[in-house]
Amino acid sequence: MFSLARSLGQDSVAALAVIALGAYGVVESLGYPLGGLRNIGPGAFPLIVSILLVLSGALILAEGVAALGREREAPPDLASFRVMIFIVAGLLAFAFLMPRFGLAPAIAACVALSALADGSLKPWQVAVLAAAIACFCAVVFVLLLNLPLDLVTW
Amino acid sequence: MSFFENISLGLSVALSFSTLGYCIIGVTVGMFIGVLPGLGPLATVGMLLPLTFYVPQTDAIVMLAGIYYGSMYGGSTAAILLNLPGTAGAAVTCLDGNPLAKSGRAGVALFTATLSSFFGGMFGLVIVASFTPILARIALSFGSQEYAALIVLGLLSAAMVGNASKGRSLAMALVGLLISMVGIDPNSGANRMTFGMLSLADGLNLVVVTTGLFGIAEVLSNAGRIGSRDALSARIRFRDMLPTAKEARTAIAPALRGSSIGAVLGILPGTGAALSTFVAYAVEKRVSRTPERFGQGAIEGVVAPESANNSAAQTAFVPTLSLGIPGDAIVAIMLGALIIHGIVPGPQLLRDHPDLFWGLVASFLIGNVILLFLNLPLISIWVRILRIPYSVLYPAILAFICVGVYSIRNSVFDVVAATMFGVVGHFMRRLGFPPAPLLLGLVLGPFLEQNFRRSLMLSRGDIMTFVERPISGGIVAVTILIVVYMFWSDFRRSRRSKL
Repeated sequence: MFSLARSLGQDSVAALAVIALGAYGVVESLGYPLGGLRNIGPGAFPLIVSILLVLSGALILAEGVAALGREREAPPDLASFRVMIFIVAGLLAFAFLMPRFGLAPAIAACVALSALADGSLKPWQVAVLAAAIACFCAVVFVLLLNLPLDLVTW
Repeated sequence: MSFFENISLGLSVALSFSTLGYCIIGVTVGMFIGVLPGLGPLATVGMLLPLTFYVPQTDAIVMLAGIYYGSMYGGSTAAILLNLPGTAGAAVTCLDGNPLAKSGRAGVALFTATLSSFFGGMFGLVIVASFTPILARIALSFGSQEYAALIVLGLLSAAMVGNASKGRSLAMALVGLLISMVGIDPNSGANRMTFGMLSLADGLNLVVVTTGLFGIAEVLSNAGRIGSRDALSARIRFRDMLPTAKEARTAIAPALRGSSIGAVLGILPGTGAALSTFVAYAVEKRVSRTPERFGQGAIEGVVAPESANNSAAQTAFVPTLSLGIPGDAIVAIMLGALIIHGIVPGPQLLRDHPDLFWGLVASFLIGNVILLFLNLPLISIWVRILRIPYSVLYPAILAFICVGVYSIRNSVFDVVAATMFGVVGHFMRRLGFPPAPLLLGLVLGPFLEQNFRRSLMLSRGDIMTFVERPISGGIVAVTILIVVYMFWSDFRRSRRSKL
């Protein structure tokens, strides 16, 4: 019984998210000229899509009710807090360091931080991995493919 | 031009030094990521797309296509040896491939899977070479009404035909359409949904959304979960790979059925390789006189899905190259690559760039042969690759994503946006939303809006124009039939399960 309640709970969260996005789309597209049928304006198409989005939210809810009492495949679990923090930190570290210090330090930082999310590597292994991937990217992207990226700057 | 002229043109392109090189790189990378669970062709193609901006257009598309069908070969290896699908298209192969491996016949399963893949690939290749020109000729008479109707058909079939919830898939396709409208509207010049940010004026780049939704979201789901794996360490000798004569005979019909199912679902816009394996497996089980053997190591259960996914991976190019409407989400990214290279996908592609089309077809032939030789004699190397721990792999994936996204236009904004799409995509998965329809919506959105607007302009605001024209009316009718049938079969299933 508990799992049933939870399963509809998930459908209602999904449906609400879709309906909210659709409603936002309706409000947003009403801010642009709609035009007439002969020459539709920039707002008309987003408006149609947003209205359909609201309707599909209702469909999700209906499906959830119809599927009550039936076995369903459980969706994948959410990432742990640790995984989320370290991977996002790694990506943002790249974004922060790349324009300031260049490719090699940015990649090393990205790899080092994100590798901590897993926790199965020892610190020296993380350091070796970061250096190895930074070297690999430097050779492949900058030397071989000639991407216009600075290796190291300050 | 005659058929042989076309083929020789294609071979002359595909056998040129650089194209052949990119074909080999593509299929090897595809095989590699196919073998590795946790890294799929969608994320890889999205990740490598920015790098192809720097190579000639034909080489770029040859390499990306090679990654796609190469991954279909590799996907079965992990499925058979570890009971872990290397790609989504190999999930069904686990069902009978792994029991075969457990009963000591891993070599036979791998051999059959590879040969079935090759058969499916060749089957699909013939379909691509023969159907695309015909479809392109028909499509030359298509107006914007037909295109608008076809795109709607593609989006709806992506949402309706599949295992995921219909409402959720539909919502994802619509969200994709909505995201595609971010940026300057080409008709009126209005800045739509940019929140006043200059970085959004050009819209959200396809690479940003793909790498976020597929690459980063996948890493978030898998990091810390995929531990070290125990691949079967037994050496697989070539002698152990040959199936018995009886098995070889029973494999012929399933290979043909699987390839045909893959070809149909590959051509149908919006449905692709992964789905075709489920259908092919279900069909085999139904036509078999001994359905109870399925799941216990039936060789048909490996042959049918493996030939289906490879066939579909090839025929997905038919609508892409003839109509400009992608057969599935991965090919949608390649369509994006073509557009970036300044090639307008559609019926005129075959007329204006015959070297690209026939070169690509010839590269399919070469690539499939290479994969055959890459696969069987080198199987021990691929088994060893299975032992690369995910904790080493995913930081490298993230680094490649960062470089790829940043290199599009040296923009920090894009990296942050991809990160956001990754986190949002991860939560979406938790709520059961399938990400592939979103990608289709994103790629097709601008086309749909353009053709919808133009149709209404040409018909002076008459909305009936979409059903009055015979071809577009026919497409609308097919679309309605698919939708009604899918809801009806759902309804029937839920009635039956309640009884």
